[in-house]
Amino acid sequence: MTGRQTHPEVSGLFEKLMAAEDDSELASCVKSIITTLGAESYVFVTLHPGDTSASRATHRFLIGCRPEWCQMYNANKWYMTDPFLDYARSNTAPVTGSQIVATTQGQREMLAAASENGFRSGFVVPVHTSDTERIGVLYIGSEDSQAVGERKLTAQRLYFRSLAMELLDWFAREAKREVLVAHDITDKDLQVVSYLKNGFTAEDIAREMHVSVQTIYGNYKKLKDKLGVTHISEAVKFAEVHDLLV
Amino acid sequence: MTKNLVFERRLSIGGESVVLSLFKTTHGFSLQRCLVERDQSMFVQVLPITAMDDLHRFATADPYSEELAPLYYEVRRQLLEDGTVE
Repeated sequence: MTGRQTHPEVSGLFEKLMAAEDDSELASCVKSIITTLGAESYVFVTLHPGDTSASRATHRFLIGCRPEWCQMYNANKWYMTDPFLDYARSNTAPVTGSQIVATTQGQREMLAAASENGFRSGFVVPVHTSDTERIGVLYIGSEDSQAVGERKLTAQRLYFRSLAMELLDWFAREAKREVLVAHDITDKDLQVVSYLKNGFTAEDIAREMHVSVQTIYGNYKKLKDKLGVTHISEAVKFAEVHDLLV
Repeated sequence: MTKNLVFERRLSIGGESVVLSLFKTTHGFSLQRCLVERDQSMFVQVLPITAMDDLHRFATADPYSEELAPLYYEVRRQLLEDGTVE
């Protein structure tokens, strides 16, 4: 299947994916895209290597492969030794399965198990957000032999890379939405925090927002209460940690 | 977002805890399995459920399948009751 043949159909699927309202719809779009591009299985992992907050997932897996594989991967804690995850932490170029060499027995066992679970041939796409705090890794798998499958999947490199980027964006939007809803944070709250991050004083913010300084201090208090913090600088830090500011 | 929580249970197992959450979405169901380890690392698996077999295979392969059996049973019951997943 060539890129030219698949383009119109895949473009339509990407449009649907970007508008997906929940992870079921998202997963359905991803499955359609990778199937159209000649693959059969996928897993998309997002991780936050620098995150120490107990309230946010350090690894999140969207499963589009045999359910057994994801359970096996987690049960064996292969995320600690997965050579593709290691590669993804400091690289963004896509790689085929054969380009990454297993160096330990544990890694060899992991790759053998992957091969038996829908990833006989594979293509792996790392993506990073601009501040590198959030990483995504798209694992694409096929039952084709490594030689045949890798050639076929590599030919769709542009699409898989776009898919990985769109997925990371989607999960970033979703994570932000969840935090905003959980803490009842409004657009005005974010506007105030954004000014604070840029070094504005309460007087500066009041002037920019055409309100009194007392109103701004009132906004500070409400926001601190919502977040359960004692100083407004902690609210700025919270917003930065959770990627709430544009 | 059109994602509604229909079932959620937490189970503590030897210092770790597992939360199973079943969501009804516009296009079906998704099951979220969240494992919180002793050091508070959190691993979330999201399984879109398009067939009962997806759940069965996921549950059977769960390293805590025995401990979580009552929770998976309840998830299955919810799906059967809804009747949209075969």
